[in-house]
Formats: sequence, C-alpha cells, structure tokens
Amino acid sequence: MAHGRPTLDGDTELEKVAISGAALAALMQAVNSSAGDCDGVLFGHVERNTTSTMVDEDVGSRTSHNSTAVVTGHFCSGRVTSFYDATGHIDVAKFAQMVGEREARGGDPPIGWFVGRRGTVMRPSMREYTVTANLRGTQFSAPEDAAVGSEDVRDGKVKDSRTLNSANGLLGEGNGLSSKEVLAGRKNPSQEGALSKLIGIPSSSPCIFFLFTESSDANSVHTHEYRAFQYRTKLPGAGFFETRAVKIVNIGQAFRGLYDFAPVAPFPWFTKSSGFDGESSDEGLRRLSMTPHHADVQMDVPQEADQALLDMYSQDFSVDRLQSLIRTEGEGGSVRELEALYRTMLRKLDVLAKQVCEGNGVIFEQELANSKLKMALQSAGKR
Amino acid sequence: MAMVQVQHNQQQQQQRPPPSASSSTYVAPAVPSWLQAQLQYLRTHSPIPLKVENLRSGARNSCILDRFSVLIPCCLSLIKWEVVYNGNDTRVAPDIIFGDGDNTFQPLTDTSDLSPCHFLRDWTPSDPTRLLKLILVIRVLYLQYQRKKVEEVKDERVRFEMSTMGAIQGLEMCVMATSDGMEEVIFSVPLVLEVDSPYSATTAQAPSTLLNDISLQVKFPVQKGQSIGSAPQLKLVAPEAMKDVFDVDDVKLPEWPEHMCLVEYMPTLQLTIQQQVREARASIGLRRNFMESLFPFFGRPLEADMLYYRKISILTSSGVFTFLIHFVLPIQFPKMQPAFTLQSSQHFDARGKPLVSRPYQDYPWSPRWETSEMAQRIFEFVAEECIAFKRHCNDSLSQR
Repeated sequence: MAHGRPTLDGDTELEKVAISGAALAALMQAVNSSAGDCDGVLFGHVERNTTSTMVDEDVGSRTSHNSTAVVTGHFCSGRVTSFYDATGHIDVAKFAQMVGEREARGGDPPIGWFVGRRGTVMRPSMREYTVTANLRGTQFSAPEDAAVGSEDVRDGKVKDSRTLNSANGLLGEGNGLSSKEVLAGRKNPSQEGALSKLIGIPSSSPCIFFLFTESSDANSVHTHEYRAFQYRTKLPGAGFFETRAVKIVNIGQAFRGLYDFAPVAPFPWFTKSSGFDGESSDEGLRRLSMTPHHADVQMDVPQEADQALLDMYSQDFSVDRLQSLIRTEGEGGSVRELEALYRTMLRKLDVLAKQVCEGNGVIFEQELANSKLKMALQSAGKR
Repeated sequence: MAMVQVQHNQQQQQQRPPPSASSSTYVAPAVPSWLQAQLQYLRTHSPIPLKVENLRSGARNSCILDRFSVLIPCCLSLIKWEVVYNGNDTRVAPDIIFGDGDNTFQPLTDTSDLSPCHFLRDWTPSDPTRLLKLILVIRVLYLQYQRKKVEEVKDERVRFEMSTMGAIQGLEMCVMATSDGMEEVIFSVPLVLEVDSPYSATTAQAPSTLLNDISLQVKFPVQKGQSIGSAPQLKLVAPEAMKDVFDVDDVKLPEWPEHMCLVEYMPTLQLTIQQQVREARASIGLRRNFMESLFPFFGRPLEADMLYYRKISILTSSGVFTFLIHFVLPIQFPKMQPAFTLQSSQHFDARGKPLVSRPYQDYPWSPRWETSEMAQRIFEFVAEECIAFKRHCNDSLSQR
C-alpha cells in the first residue's frame, strides 16, 4: 500500500487549493477582526488523486495524477511581521511557537502562510515573496534527525499524529505505520522535544500563500477578496508565485471526501497484513472468541496500549479479536463479531452509566452531609 | 512649485472622508504626522519627479491613512508601486508591491551594497528621509533588473543597439509587455542640446536648463525574442513645464529608414531639435516685443505672463463700451497669429457671468510685419469688431 504512492515533491504543480467554507469563513473573520494588517500560518495537507481512464483498445489504461492542497486550519497572529522581520528573514523561535502546539494536538502540518491587508492589490509584495522563499528554503529540522533520514521520521510522525487524533479522514492515505509507534513516541520526552523542532514546511509539501483583502469602497460589489498562490522553484534560487484556483468545499454528496466527513472511530490502527499470518482467519476468530481473556497473558507492550485504547470504548473485547474482525472483512462471520463488538460497547456504556449513577449517589450523600453540617454550624452560631 | 501644488490638491481630495456606514463613531481619516513628514520630504527632495496618489487606510476603522501608490518615472514611462505601511504599528518598515509584470523582481534577495535591507533592518519612522532613500535605491535595482531583462532578449537588432548604446550616460531601458501579447524593448536616451545661443539672453527669468531636458523614447517591438522588423516607435518626451515654451509634440521627427540604428539617428535628431529649440527661444523675445507694442494702442495690461509671454489681458473701451481683450500667443509666434477674445464688462448672462465673444483668429496678419504694425492692425480690427460684439451683447440681453 505504502509502496504504490507516487513520490512526494513539494514542487509538484497543484491543480487547485481546496478549503472548506467553514475554514475560509474563520480565516476571513480573523483577518477582518484584526485592527490593521495581519499574517499567520496555514495548516493543511495534500490529497493526491490518481485518475485511470479505461479505453476500449487493448492498450491499457492511462493514469493521471493531480494534487489538491487542502487547507484545514490557520493561526492568525493579528499583526504583521509576526514570525519574520522587515527584510523577510524568518524568526525560527516565533514560527515554532505558532506551529508547534498545533502539531502536538494532532493537527495538519503547516502548508503555507497568509497575509490580510486592506486596500491593496492582490499581488505578493517584495517582503511576502522573500518570506515565502525563506519558508521554503530554510531547514528548521533538529540536528539529530538530520543524521538518520530526517525526511522519513518527520513524515511518519506527522502523519501518525493525524491518524490518531484528527477526524480528518487521513486514514485512507495509506501509510503502513501502525499507531503503536506514535504512542511509543509520545511517551518518550526526548523525541517529543525533537518533534517540536521539526518545523517549517516539509520539502514534500507544497508551499501555499493566501492573500486576503477588503476594500472600504462603498461602490464595490464585493468587498472581500482572496487569492491563493503556490510558490514554486523551477530553477534554484529563482522562485515564483503561480495563482491557483480556490475551491470552496460546500455541503453535498460530491464534496464528502473533501469535507472530511468520513466516519473515523478512534480505534487502534491495523493493517490487513499484520496479525496472525500463519493461521486461517476462521480458526483465529474461533480461538479468540472462545478465550477472550486468555490473550492478555501473551500481549506485548504495544498491544497493551492498543487494548487500553479499545477499553475506553468497549467492555471486555480483546484487541486481537478486533484485528481478526478486520482481516475477515466481507465474510459471514464478521456480522456476528461486529454485533458482539457493539454489545461490548453498549456494555461499556452501561458500566459508565452505572459509574455515573454511583458517583451521583455519593455526591448527593456528601451534599446532604454538608448541608447538615452547615445547619449545625448555623444553629451553633445562633446560640 | 506648480507640481507640488497639484499634489497637495490631490492629497486633499484623497483625504475626503469615504462614505462609511459601518462605524457609528466616525473618525475622519488622517495622515499620521510621521508619514506626513516622510511624504513632504519625498516631494521636496526627490531628484526625479515622484508622484504620490491614492492615499488610503489599512485599519479596520479606516482612520489612519497608511498606504499609497507612487508613480515612478522609468524609461520615460510611469510605473506604479504600492507602498504599504502599517498605521497600527509604526515600527514596522514599509512593504512595496511592484507592477504586475515584475513578479521576478525581488530586491530583498539582493546581497550587494545596494540592498534595501540596510534601510529596512533598523527602520525608524521618525527619520523623514528614509522613504525617499528606500524608493530611490529600489529604483536603481529595478533599472538594473530591467537592463538584465533587455540583455536576455534574443533579438539581433536589440543586441546591436545595446552594444553601441550601452555606455551612454543616462540611458535607461526596460522590457514591457503590451496589450496584444507582444513585448517591446524600450530605450530612453537623453538628448544633448547646446541651448546657450545668443537669443537666450532675452529671457533672464526662464530657467536656462529647462530646454535641456528633452529625451527620446524608442520602442522596439519584439515577439518571443524576435524582432518584427518594423521601424521602432519614436517619441520625444519633455517635462510638462516646457509646454509653454516648446512643445515636443509639434516636432516632426526625421524619418527612420531601413537598417537605421540609434547611434546614427541621434545626431540628426539632435541637430533638428536644437534648431527648433533656438527658434522657440527666439519666439519668446518676439512675443515680448509684440506685447509691448500693444500698450500704445490698448493701454496698460491687467494681467500678463511675464515668464514666457503666452497670455495677456487688457482692459480697453470704445466710446462708453468697456471690455476686456484676452490674447493667447502661440509657441510658433509669429508664424501663427495670436488668438483673442473680447469680454464685456457691462453685459452679464443670467448666472452673472460676463458675455464673451468667439475666439478671433481670422484677422489680417503677416509674420513679416513689424510688431507695431501687428498691434495697429489688431487695434483697427477690434475697433470695428467691438461694435458688432456690443450689438450682440445687447441683443442677447433684450431676448431674456
């Protein structure tokens, strides 16, 4: 799965820039509410689509690739020169501050930046050009990562954090790394520190620049304008901006994929290939369903983490059983297993409800005792 | 002085409060004092005529005017840059947005001594000289950038011109895209004129350098780096103020034969222009003599242009009819006769404006007459014509 992906190159020509209506509205609101000009960082990811065209003749199908940059979020500084100086030089510390927190929460990596300026033409200025060139050209990665294939490490981490936490439907991007690596990485503070240093726009990602303006001219038909540019470098040292069409993703069936409505459950991430390779699926299933508690004994550390994650949503459903369920997708037995999973999830809810009830009872009793004490205190005070 | 005046007027127009319905507490937009000082310095100290226009605001309540366009002469054309300050944070150095076709001109990546980064790094808004220095240094870089673009043009004719003209002092060049998808290489060459002729002594007040400032603009059309082969577009450009003495639009340029080149063309052109400029200077003296000859016939003037002697207004009377005569003297005086109008000081239209005659330019005239005879002939013509004018005035009054 991971091998079939085309190689990532940040200079690949984008077909368009997509942004959901809500994200654009939030961005415009941020620009609009700032007292003067403002800038900020854009976050997002790239969707690469491969279109195959089948033809009648026996020449095989033709495939075409196109990329769409999806802007999913932003951070607005509310002023200009927030992470760079007047000459366009990037202040790494300030940029890290604007970016770092978001990635730790599992958002998309930075994909570019934006500027909102009122009453100006929709062309990048000399400073905006230089800032973009520096964003693209500067390597902000930590030195220890540079030694061991920093690109892979960075790529993996960024993607995995998305897989785990965001509901952006990026599971489908098909990188073969399992989430146990992320969990392990999270627990390790030294690697956490390295993660925060890995800022900037990865060279595998395109660099987007968004420009917003609004005019106070009462005669103009529309007062808010936006334009997206992709920064490209055909020759080294000679970058240029290319205007890109902006697609605002609206509600409707056709936009589901872009709107990221794909139902994503926060379950552990399995691939079909992993698991009990030597065993037939039915056998494994039977074995697991018979002895749900037996598996605990031979569980290794990452499985424990997966189990802990699963236990948050279900009662007594082993993680191996869930893995088998994925492997047997499309076969008859899975319905029964799925129902069993739902039952354990309902049981979990039952347990939670019971816990809430009990908790409420304790709180009620405590409050009763509190009020009794208060009464006693008051009567004592009157005397 | 005249130019500064015009700019002030424009600025006042810009400062008119734009209609704003959104803000309830409306504050009239104003130029902050630090920017006012920088613009004032720019107007008074710039060695090239820069023009600031379209002052506008970038603030949400649009009360601080902090961005504007600057028109900068380049190759005898004007290019427009936008200068963007941030009124809310005056410590931030200004940013500049260049023209549409200059998307590869990036002065901040320049690492030479000319780099504008030096100005931007320690920007202080209280220093009024900074803005002008910044614009001038970026303009130098821009001309270098355009020169490099011209050097990249793969057209033999342009390359030849470059090799022969390249070292001329004051030469500017650029490549511009035209509306029909073509490009043109533009050269601007200042003409070297010797205007210190004996005739110039007649006008001590006229700045002697004024007539020295004529340049030739040459446009070679090219398409994808190949020349079309047609003759280049030639145009003489002179400062607006020269129009009162010498109008470059009236000059008939020498023909551009095939296989002509600029180095060969320039001396012929300079000789032609020099001759015409001399005539124009001589014409100033003749106009002055003509005006002085009018006085014995019409009386002392109310108003006269004492710099170039292009206009004069005289109050005179015929019997009880008192009227004004306004003369306009052409640059080609005395080849072309002056035009004049009569204006009654006794008849007014419904709105209180004085009645004015048609412009007279069809009276007897010969450029070979003495100025006194010219004045006398005009006086005789006016003496007859004013009666008809008076009748016309009375008629139009009685019709109401």
